[in-house]
Amino acid sequence: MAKFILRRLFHAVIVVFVISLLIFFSIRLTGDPVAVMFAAGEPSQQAIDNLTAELGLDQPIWVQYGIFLRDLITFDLGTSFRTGQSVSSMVAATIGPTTLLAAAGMAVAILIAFPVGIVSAVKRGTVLDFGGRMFSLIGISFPNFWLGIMLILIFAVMLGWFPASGYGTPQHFVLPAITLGLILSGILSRLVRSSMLEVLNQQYIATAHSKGLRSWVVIFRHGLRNALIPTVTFMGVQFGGLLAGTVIIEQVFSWPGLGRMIIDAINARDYPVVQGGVIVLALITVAVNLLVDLSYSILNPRIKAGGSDS
Amino acid sequence: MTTTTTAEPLLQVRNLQKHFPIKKSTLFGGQKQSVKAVDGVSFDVYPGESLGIVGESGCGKSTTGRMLLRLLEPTGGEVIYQGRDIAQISAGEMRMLRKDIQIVFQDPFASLNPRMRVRQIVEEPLMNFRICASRKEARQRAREILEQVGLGENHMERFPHEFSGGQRQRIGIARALASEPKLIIADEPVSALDVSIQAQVLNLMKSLQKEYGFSFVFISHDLSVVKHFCDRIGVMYLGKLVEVAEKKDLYAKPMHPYAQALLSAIPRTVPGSTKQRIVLQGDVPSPANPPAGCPFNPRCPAAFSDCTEIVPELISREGRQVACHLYPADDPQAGQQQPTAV
Repeated sequence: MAKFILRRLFHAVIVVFVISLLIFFSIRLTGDPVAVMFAAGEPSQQAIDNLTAELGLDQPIWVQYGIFLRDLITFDLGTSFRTGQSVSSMVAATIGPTTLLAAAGMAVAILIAFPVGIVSAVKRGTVLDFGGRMFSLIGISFPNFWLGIMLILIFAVMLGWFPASGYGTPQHFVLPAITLGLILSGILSRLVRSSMLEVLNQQYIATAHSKGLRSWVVIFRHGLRNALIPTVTFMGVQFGGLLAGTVIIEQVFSWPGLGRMIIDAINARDYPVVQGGVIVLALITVAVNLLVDLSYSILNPRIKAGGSDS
Repeated sequence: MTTTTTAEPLLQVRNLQKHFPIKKSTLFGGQKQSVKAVDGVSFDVYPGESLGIVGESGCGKSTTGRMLLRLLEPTGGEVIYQGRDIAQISAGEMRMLRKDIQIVFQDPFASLNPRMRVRQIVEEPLMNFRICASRKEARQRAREILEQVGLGENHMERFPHEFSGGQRQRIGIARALASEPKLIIADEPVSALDVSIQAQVLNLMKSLQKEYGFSFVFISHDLSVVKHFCDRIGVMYLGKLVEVAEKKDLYAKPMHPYAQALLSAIPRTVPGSTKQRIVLQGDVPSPANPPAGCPFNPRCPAAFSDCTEIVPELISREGRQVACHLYPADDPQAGQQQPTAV
């Protein structure tokens, strides 16, 4: 088990290294940040040179990357070109709202997808199943920003039940979380349905019936628990995607999250903020996937984390 | 087992049917058809006996077995247990009745929940049927039952995948035994096991039966296993029982031409045995479109004109039940009679 975690941590280091390389060079393709910063006036060459030197952009690019890596190892993500704030503190301020939103979206997705998927599988071929499958199809094909805008229009503008944008109270969570959750529940309910169908056809389900158990006990204790393995994998993968995918939702709902911070930074060519934000997102994704892998051994006794350790 | 003749049957099966609907699409829309997997099967099971049901794959043996517990819903007929028709009672009543009728499945790898420990597998029916009042009692009882099937205390906390096929089938038997059933449907219980393990499991089942006195409906395609295990044997062909007889009678002199052909296929252990194997011509007809008259008539070497027109009933002929026109009925009223054990 410990060996397994160590190996995965080593993988994580490699992943972060590769991502640092990609993000460092690709962000520099967007153009010169100094040009953006002086967009308003007509600066002198001297001023431009001074600022370039101050930001360390006069150094050869490999040296810049080396400095970035060196700082990264000490968990120093640099300072923002625009505000002079440390990127770490900016990430710290935005990671909370983003994680909470992703978690709320996931919770909504689970609350919708599991009942829909289970009912669809158990009542296969009936009107209920048809309805469940239509729901997931709609969920999969809806663009999430459009759904967000529609929800704002109906529930914020017309009905005035929830705030249209911003962050702070539980009410602020409702619309963005439902937007994220509805979209995700489309795919998730489909997955729950197919894994449930597969499990319900297994012979041990007939065994469970022969024990005289009530059907819902058979469905939940014997069916769902076995159907969870593929579902949890998917949710783990999706949670990483959800963190990054909230970018659009954060824009729509003016959510003060990591995604919006990165978008703003890209527009301003604020290299350190983009780099820091992306690296942190990558770390979270890697960590969530590790947790998912570790949860297998709890969900499925046949899988021992690390294999040979048993 | 001649003693069974006087006893009241434990379970009476009357004209049991399972027709699976299929859709045949033709040029002008769909045409409703059905596969007659089980088409009017009647037999009795007596307390403490082992009734074998043999036949080739696809003849409806397993479907019959599953309908006895209503793991499959019959489309017709009756299954009478303790004076009640199992096919008609409510789902709730059926759940509690499953205490009395249990099943052991063919595949010991698929029939145990991979996420449950052996102890939980055996405890679950104990708690559910309220055989044990507390968890502690259930655990104690589970330990005793597992011991009886040859599994020790150190096995209780393990998961099914940690066991061999034979051990897993023992777990399946322990699970079935837990609810103290009066009848166990054994659906090809040893055919997934190595031959060396088969005998162990069969002997275990026999000795448990001797101890607890439950009945077996033993479904198998293996005639040697059935001969070893059963008291009476029913031979199925294309969804129908064609002959039901005491084991010694059937193996000494099968009467139905299909039973004759089937038994002639058993490999002989005596070298130079003169008995010829009867090789049937053609294939088993489709159960979606069975032949008119006797289902066996297209392949029967002795078929005559009646066989293609009249479905022979399973009635007493020459001291056993045979569904064949070759033999006269024992009693002119036999057609109306309920089938009885000989």
